[in-house]
Amino acid sequence: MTTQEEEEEEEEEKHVQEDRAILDLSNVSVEYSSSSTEKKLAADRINLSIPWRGYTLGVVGESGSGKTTLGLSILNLIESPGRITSGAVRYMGRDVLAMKAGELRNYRWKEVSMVFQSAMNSFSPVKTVGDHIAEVLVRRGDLNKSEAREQAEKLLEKVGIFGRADDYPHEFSGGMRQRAVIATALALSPKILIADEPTSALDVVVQEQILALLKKQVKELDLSLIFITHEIAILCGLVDNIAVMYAGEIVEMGPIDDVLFEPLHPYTEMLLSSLLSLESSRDTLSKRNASSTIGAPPARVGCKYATRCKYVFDRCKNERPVLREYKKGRMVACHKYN
Amino acid sequence: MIGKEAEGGDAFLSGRRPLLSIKDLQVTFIRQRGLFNRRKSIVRAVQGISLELFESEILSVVGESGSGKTTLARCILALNRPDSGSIKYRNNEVTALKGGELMNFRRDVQIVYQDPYESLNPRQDVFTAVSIPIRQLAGEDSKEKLTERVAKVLREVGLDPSAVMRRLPHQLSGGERQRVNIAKALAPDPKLLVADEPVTMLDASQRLGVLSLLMELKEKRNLTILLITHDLASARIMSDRTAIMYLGRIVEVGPTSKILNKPHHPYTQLILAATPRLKRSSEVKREYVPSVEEAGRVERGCVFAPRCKYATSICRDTEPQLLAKSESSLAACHNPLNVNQATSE
Amino acid sequence: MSIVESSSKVTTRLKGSVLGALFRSRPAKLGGLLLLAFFIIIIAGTFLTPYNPYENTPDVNAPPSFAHPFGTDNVGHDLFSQVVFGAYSSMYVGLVSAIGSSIIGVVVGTLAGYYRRLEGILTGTGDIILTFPAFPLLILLGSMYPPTDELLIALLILVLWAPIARAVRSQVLSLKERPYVDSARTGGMKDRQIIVQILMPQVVSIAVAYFVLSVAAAVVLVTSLEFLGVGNPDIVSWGSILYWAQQFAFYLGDWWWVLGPGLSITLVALGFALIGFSIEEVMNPRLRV
Repeated sequence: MTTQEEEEEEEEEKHVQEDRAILDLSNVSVEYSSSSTEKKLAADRINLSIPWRGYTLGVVGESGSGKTTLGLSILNLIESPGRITSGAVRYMGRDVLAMKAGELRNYRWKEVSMVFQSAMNSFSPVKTVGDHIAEVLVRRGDLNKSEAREQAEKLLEKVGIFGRADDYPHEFSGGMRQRAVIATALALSPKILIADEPTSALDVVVQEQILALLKKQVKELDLSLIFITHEIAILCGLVDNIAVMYAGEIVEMGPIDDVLFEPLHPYTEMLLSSLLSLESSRDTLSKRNASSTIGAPPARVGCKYATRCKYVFDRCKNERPVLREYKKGRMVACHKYN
Repeated sequence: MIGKEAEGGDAFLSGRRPLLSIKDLQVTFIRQRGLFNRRKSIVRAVQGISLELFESEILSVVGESGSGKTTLARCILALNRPDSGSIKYRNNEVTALKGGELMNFRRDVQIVYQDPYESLNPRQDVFTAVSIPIRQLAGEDSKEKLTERVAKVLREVGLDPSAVMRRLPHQLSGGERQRVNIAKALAPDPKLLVADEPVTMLDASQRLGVLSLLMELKEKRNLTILLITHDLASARIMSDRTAIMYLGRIVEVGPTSKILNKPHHPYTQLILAATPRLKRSSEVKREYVPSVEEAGRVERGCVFAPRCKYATSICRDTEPQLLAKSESSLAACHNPLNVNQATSE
Repeated sequence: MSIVESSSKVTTRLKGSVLGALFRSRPAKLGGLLLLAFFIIIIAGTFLTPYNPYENTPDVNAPPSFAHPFGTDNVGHDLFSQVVFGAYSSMYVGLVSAIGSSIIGVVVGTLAGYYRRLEGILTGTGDIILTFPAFPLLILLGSMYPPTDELLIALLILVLWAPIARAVRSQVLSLKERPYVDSARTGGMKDRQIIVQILMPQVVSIAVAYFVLSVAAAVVLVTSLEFLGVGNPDIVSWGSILYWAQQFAFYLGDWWWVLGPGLSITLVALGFALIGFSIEEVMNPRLRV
């Protein structure tokens, strides 16, 4: 083991002993300005932590809930017109938002890596898939070209692609490209992988493959997975914990089985009841009021969900609930539980 | 009405004749492989599809990407011309329609596209987008009448006309855009609606609402719907019958509940198993199945054989035909599942 | 949709904000400045120079001075007045050629992109023209017929329409596949309406970019042709100035002879080129979407 690796292990030990999380987000807020007058808080005082290696978390929410922003802020990838207005992101105690270019280079892809939904379409058509991966290895992993090429092939094999490193991206199907993207993301053995809707554009069978692949990697590499999606069902059997987001806030968090089968927050309840699944029958259709899906926009004062909540009472309109522990390991931001 | 009706009375209304009848449809594309390399490969998008759609029913065509379902939809809508085979709408050959007859056809047969954003012209506001089909296909010119009709159909899809009529697509949410698309399709008062993955690009929480809307509209207007989807859950709650497509062929077709409860074809079983369900962690099993590319091209025999765990030698040798495996469902399989069981329907 | 998605989508959607983007682009501003400078010089020159460009003065072979900013040639012509006079015909030829080739290019490109059947012939013709080296072709044709401005314009159009058609065609091809075009078809719009109402407006932006670039190209080409003797060297134009310069300037040591035309072409061509490239650059992210 090199001295650097020894140092890192020591640091990690320290963290586990001192009960410090590997990744810690405290009060992170991100603001987007779509024009000089219109500003929106995409993430509103987020508190989140990944306590140990191998801790898996699913982040669920509709579009506009801030889930993508959350992922981007962990890697300090928020770009204009967005900016992080408050809060801190700490990785192993180090302040990510204060990192300089060199540190960031060592942080991104090596410690924390990300897979985007559109990643499979961002391959350059003039380079082979193997070349793409090798490039990352050379630039960030300090390997030479031939070593990198060899390693690239091995990485592709790990994700189930054999002998096709010399093919061009358009010769790969969507599912294969996404697998190649995952291979690239895991190339430098990061400790945390953030996956933002990696399977949304894919068919169910291919999606199964990719989820199985991720599950395997999590086990083998002791990887912490943060899986961001709007499809709750995918997370079953994939992650141990789940965080539900609404209007830029985390409204509920806890072990996945608990949250999904005994939801606490009214939004979680609503989300679960509006799901379409194989278990739904024709009656589900007629019971719903067809035009009720367009919910009222989030409130500006007090609890954001108050405008749509069926349990709303006075306190909700004035005071914003804080994410608090309600039962062991279960957090919820709702006045019902206070 | 297009053309002349068949002998005596409207046979379509009594449900005896199919509204839409597809026979042996073949569509082949020539695709160029590689940017600089001129090798051409032949993609057989649709291979010998035959299908019937009866009035007032909802038929789902389920298939993954590459199954040919979108190509099928485009041929039905007369957007693509098939290489061979026939598509008959009320006894009129769709592929041969021109001019006025084509316009009449378009008035009767409409489509809701998959991508709520891309199917709206970014420069047109909602009123323009929805009024165009009325103007072009129903011949309505008067500004007042148009506004009236547009407002009416917008209300039908659950949108407030005064709020959205002058909005541009980027000012609407995904769910709203899709409703505008539905309004566009219903504006000329069609009889047959093709819905191409209508909820796939919407958030999971909005899907049920939009499907519910489609069902409501179907009942109110007595529409016939061809629902194209890759999601079995949508097929289950919407359709009377379901057809499963794989690589350009129909591998199973029959009543939806039968197909999804006791499928005959191993591919149907595969998709069923892969469809995510809300389950406790301990109950979820994940099995790795080779993908279509890994399976490789098949020269003879059943095209699903390389991925099929029940494949036997005959499967690799002879292509199975779509035949009845039980009372009302057909499957193209040499070793079908769930036969010789009392069919409970 | 979430603001994250919509704010990035808005920048890639056409909102008529091309001009807005242009105003922010530095190359475009520089180009604009150059053209403005040129424009001012020419207008000022038209009213201020006392000399007739065809008038022989006794002040021969005079280097640049206050009286003759670009000096005089071997028979005493004031080169500055010649440059100013020549500007009009050069710009005229340049602009008309660019307009003509843009119109033809847009029409041909759109038809070739939309109608697959026509594509073969139209693209083929374009390809042939593109493959032919423009210059020798122009010289050949130019020498065969009496040299008038109209001839030059016709020749330039012949050579310049093809690149525009090609760019327009590829944009039409990609636009044609967009779902809202399909939606227009199933909504009952006829081909003609789709082309004119939907595709053409989208194509205008790239056509404008190529138009601007074509002006630059046309001006350079016409001057070069006249320099080589195609066209009438006895009629004052930038090219003819250079033609005579080539005959005499080197022997006589009149280094300033080429100053006028050189400076003018640089200003004009560079100016238009910078603007044209900026437009294209602004267009590109939209093209890829």
